[in-house]
Amino acid sequence: MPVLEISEETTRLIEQESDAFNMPVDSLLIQALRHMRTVENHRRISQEQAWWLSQPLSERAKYEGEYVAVHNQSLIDHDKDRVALHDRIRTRFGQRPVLVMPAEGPREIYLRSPRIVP
Amino acid sequence: MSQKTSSTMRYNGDYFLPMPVLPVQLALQDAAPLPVPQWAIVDTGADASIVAKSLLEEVGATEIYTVGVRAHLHEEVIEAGVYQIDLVLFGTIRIPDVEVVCDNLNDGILLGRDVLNLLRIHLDGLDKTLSLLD
Repeated sequence: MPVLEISEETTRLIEQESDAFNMPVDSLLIQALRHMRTVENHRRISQEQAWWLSQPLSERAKYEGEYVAVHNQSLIDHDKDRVALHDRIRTRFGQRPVLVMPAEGPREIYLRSPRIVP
Repeated sequence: MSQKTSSTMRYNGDYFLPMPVLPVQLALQDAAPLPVPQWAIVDTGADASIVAKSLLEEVGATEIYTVGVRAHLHEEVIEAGVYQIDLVLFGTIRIPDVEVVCDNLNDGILLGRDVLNLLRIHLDGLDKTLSLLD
């Protein structure tokens, strides 16, 4: 198993949180890192989506009925076939966050069973 | 006309009232699914399938866009991430490239009509069983 050198202060902090959450250190760190990645990905996707939806309607209308892929505030690909577009983006970018959404914007999701929404 | 049943599952009695559920595993495209299946709630009232954030993180999926989600009896629209993943039902039936909504508050999986409308499901409320038909 590889050994990671970290400061005593960091070690103390990790152990404190491990006790507080009643989780092994490994599990705690994995969950924390995954959560950080989720938060950062969400921030980037939200930014890309806001940029796309701020483009003039005349520009977005060119892609009506298609999915668009946006990265670093540029339209990088589009396709009527959602899965084909997604495949190309994953081949090119792996699991890095790239916006892949309906060009006209997302439709609202409705949950008819009373529930605390996500 | 009778239809062949491929899998049958008892309702989950932990709920009041018993809930139709089926076992679901998550997977990235072309990858092996998470080993432990989750008991997904069958919800014909949901436009989309909902998956707990912790499960999406565990499988390593990446958000692709955000949607507004509205629930019955709630006025507020909540923003949530959409992810594209594969679902494996009953350990054998793989449904690829499903867009699911991330649930930041609740555990587990809720199967909405986006997935249910791809299947032949028989709910037997008297027998408390869910059957997947061929």
